[in-house]
Amino acid sequence: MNNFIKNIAQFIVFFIPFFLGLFIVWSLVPELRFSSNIRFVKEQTSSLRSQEVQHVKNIDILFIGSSLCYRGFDVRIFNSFGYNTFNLGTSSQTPIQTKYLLKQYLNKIKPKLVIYAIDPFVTSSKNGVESATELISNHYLSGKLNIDMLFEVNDLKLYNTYLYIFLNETRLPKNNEIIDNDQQYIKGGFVERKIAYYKHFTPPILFHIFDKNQLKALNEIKEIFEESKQKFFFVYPPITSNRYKTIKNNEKFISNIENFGALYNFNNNQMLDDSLHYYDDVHLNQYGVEIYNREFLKMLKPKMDSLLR
Amino acid sequence: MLFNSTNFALFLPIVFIGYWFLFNKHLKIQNSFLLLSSYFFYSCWDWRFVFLLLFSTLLDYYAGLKIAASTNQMNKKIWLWASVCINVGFLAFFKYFNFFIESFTDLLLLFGIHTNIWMLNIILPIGISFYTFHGLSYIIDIYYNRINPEKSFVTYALFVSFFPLLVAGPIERATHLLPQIKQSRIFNSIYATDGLRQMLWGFFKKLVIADNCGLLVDNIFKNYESLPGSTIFLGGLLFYFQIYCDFSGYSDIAIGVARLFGIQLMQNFRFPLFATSFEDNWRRWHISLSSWLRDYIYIPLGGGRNGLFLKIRNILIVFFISGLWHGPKWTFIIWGILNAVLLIIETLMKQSKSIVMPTHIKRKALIPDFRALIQMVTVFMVVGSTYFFFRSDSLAQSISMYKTIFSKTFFAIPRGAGLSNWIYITLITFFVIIEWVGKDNKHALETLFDSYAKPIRWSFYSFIIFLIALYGIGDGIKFIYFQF
Repeated sequence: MNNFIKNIAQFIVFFIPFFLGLFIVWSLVPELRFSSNIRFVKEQTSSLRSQEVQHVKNIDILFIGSSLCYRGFDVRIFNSFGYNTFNLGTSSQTPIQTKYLLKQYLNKIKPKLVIYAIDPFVTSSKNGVESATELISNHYLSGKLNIDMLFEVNDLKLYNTYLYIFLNETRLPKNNEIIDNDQQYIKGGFVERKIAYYKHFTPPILFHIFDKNQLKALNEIKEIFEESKQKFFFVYPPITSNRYKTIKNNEKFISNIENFGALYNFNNNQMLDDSLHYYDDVHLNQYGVEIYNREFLKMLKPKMDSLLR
Repeated sequence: MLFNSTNFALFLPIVFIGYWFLFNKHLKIQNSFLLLSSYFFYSCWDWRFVFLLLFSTLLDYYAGLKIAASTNQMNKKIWLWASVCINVGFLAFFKYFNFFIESFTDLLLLFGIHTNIWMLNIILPIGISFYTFHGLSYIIDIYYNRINPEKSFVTYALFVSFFPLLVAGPIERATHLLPQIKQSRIFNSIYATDGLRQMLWGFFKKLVIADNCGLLVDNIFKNYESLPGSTIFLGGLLFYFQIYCDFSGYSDIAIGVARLFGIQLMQNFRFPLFATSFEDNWRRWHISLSSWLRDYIYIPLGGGRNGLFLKIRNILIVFFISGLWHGPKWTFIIWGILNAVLLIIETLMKQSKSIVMPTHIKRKALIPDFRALIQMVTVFMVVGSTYFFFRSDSLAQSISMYKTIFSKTFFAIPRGAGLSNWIYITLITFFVIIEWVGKDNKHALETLFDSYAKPIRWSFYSFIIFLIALYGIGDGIKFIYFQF
């Protein structure tokens, strides 16, 4: 037995530098570094948002959530109504990632109101690996929170991505090297996409099942809000009616979220048309964003004003 | 608890330490600890089914004692049939109830009779097909006086529920496993190290090859209506790789884990990719099930002893049962029968002396001779193409896929579904080379590089771990055979 344990210990000592060395060599070969288990998502828009958020302070409204948030709430429209806002949405952001972003920024930004855009896709997601890799790739979180999230999500893809960034920091592309002609970052966190139109297809049916990790994260978010006496409410942003009807238990999702706070559902809105106001099955195009935001303000401005007082 | 999960990575060392360091003084205590750990392992799926496992174990344990104690043949027979009927009854209820009801209503519909029979929402207890077959072989062996009944309940229960083999085999025999459980084990470092090597190769096969092939296969089977015949044909072959690596990967991990506890499980796969005939394929594929069916069904039916006609009948029966064992779907049954037909054709060819019969691959051969290579490729392609039935959701889908394969589009360049990713091709090639080099051993890594210095050996193992870390699918994808 002693020999066996000694052998394993020796192997581990041998393995670690071998693995790191091979990892570095592998990362140098462009075709090899994009393995299925490294997800380095350096996006210009996300990167610019993560830089801007470092300097944001004392605002009226902080929008937070997934791409439905950063592609849905146009800060320019809200600013024109006199609100000072910032959009901290990131791709596929699940409650686990929202929790870490709030831990990092809530006390620093000190918003008067948080509007949390939430949908059944993110609450059904197991641990939000996609979103976590984006936060890591674009330096949203500080070292300790990064590590905490790494262990909470506990996914091979995330560990590899973290290691990849850690070992290749100097060689990674800078913001100005990444060009995306289809979308534009708007100061304040919103991303405007070139006008395009949704082409109808039949999406898969989804049953909202509250993932237990996401449920735990939502409870923790509620505690964070309560501890800092933060005013907030939830929004279920509009998605195409075609997609909305494939979610078979929307009522269940709505009632689950209402356990945590007020929720406003902007689906089944008569003013938004699948073919005219969306560019894919869940995201609004700029025409849709304007209608949605004005509708949002028309409906919720009195409530927002009372919360901002 | 999946082998490819964090929970198992914690569970295994804890049980290992408890087994060798804390409870190693008395065999009974050591076995009891292993039994409790196995039940804990099983309860992680669904604790309610622990009672079913316990009931099935108690039933066979008691029936075994009663059969051995009975002085007249009639009593022996009653206990045997009671045990067989209850075991098979549970299996039939949990696995086949809805299938039989559905098939029956479909049959009535053929005669214009409309019925509205209720179906039940039944959850399949994981591993039921495996532990039922364990129990059945034990009871039948006692009945035919091949073994004596086990007096210790803990020993018998551990034979049935030893955690590495509980949910997906290998289907062990009492004659092989019980004696090992009954005698005290001494830790063997060489043995355990080889167990780790086998586990490593199992993880590579499952996480890197099977799960990656699975992504391509899912794509192809989902979009088969819009893909050319060549892509669909490749999809079938990729599924063959997937199911082989998934299941043999599981078996390798199970056997490797068992070796850490000083227990030798039977070999379940013997490099079936290199089979040179259909018969050879079945001697190499899921050996524990094939040999179980051979010993408890094919031979009792008369095997090949009573003429060609009865031999053909027996082959058809065995493969029908094999198909049905895999699941309550007509696609599995057709897959079984199709393989029986291939075997029957080969049997008939053997009768004709003018046909050149399969050769065997020479041991230690670095490159196969041309004839063996042609035979291997033929068997691989033909057997692989039967797996369309195995993987399809319905008979209609399989037939539609075959129709596309036998169309002009078979000659089109395969496209779509991520087939152009050369990483997949490289990984599969690497896997086939290692399997070929290690084909004369119990598992591919058993003697690979063993004549080289430690740093070279360890570099190779580290490289495999590296590939798993970078290309393995770490989403805890279930093993395909868990559904059986």
